[in-house]
Amino acid sequence: MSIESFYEYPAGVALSRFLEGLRLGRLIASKCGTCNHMIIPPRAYCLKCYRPIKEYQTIEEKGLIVTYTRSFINIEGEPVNPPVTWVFVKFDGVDGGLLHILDPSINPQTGMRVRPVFREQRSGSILDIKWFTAA
Amino acid sequence: MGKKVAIVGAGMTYFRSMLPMTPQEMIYEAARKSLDDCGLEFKDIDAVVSGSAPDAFDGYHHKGLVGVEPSDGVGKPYSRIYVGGGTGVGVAVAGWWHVASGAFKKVLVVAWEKMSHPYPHAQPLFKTIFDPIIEQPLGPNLIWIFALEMRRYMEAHKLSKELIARVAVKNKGNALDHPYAQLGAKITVEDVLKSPVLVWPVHRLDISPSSDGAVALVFASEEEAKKITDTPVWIDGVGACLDSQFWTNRDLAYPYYVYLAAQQAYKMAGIANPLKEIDVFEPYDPFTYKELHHLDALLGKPGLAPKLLAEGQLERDGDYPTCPSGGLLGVGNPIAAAGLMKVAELYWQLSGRAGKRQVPNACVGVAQAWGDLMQVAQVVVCRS
Repeated sequence: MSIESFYEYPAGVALSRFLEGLRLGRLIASKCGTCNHMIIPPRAYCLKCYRPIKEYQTIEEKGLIVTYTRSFINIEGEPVNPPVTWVFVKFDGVDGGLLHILDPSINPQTGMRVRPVFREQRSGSILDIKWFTAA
Repeated sequence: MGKKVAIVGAGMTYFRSMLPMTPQEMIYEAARKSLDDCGLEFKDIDAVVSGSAPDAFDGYHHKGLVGVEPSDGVGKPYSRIYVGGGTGVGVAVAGWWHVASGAFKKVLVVAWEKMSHPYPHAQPLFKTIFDPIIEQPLGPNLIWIFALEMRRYMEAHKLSKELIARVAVKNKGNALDHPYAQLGAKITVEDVLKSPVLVWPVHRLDISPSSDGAVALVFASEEEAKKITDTPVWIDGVGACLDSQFWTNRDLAYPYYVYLAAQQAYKMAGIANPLKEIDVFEPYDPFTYKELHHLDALLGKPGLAPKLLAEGQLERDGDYPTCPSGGLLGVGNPIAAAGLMKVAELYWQLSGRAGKRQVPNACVGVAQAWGDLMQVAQVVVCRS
């Protein structure tokens, strides 16, 4: 059998600010007005003191590779050629981080400084970032 | 804390890539065997606690209901527990609540999985576990989360692929002695390293298989257990803990939430030094590195498990026998059933019923499973 079903998800209060930031070519984090804790992707509530978030800030877009991998298969489990390199990037002074594809011309290393490459045409999606490349 | 709870019987089906049985037939077989093991009948059971992984694997919702009839749950309190891959040990934790609370005297705990239902493979179903706004558009597959974590773990402790591959060699070797195992085999480190790289550094032989299978245990109160058997295995401690839904907020090198769950269980069981006081370890091993990652947290010492592995201490005849069953890598990984298989292994080991797998003088054991979006820890400590 097969199931065909369609879903529509709202990005919500906090993530809408993040996606709007991407459309403008910026990385937006949430900042807690009570304890100053910052996190990306942003949340509508602080994960340290659990007060509501009212403030969102553009952060420095250069981050560090925490870990990386190279996938030889796609979501269907079928081989992909060339393989895709994935990186997890953290940003100075900001909790959380972003997962994305790495520029295929870059050889990844833990601790390498990278920055997002934004597409010219942007729509408010995680795909507005083409990939991360060496900063 | 609570009333004493004993495991008095266990049973399981073969773990296979495709069993020609319905979920109901598998559940019945495991439940029937667990009752036969302790001389009880279905009518003796007061309540049923069941567990199975995502509905998507079967393609029908509320799939917990398939367990009602074959476990004789009709007319009884019947519940389905679900915490992703952690379900198999989570269902044992929930079974413990039922008896420890004093609400029920004899409880059937059953877990099953049919991973052969989705065609051609379950892999694409996993994409729906990722955040729909910021992760799904990138086309994630399940393995790369593990690959990112494995890479981080390897860097944190300067571990080689050669060392980690020894987990697969050990567990598949142990599974040769498990009568229900799917992938018992004598393999070498080279076999693991030469198997295809799926998502670097994860090779095919670093991963447990997808499987069909079911496992059932019978839990009883102290008074009932003493009537039923001379060899009860007591559940002395349980623990459960979660980390953030967002894996970008976790410490990928050390599963601290597993440590916290283990500490809950140890406190309840009066265990101060797990390394000295525990005889058998059954950490969750869906991937080779995960056995070590989890054992680090069960021991409360980041980086210790790989050292013990290198010394040969995790072998069945070592000082810290780990996955003597053969684990998920060897016995198989029918998700919820795989976790409960680990609790069943404690029952068999601690009651002296483990046959060729028997660890001599095993009195205390710990089993752990892990799941949801890779951030659930469920822990059970047993004592004979």
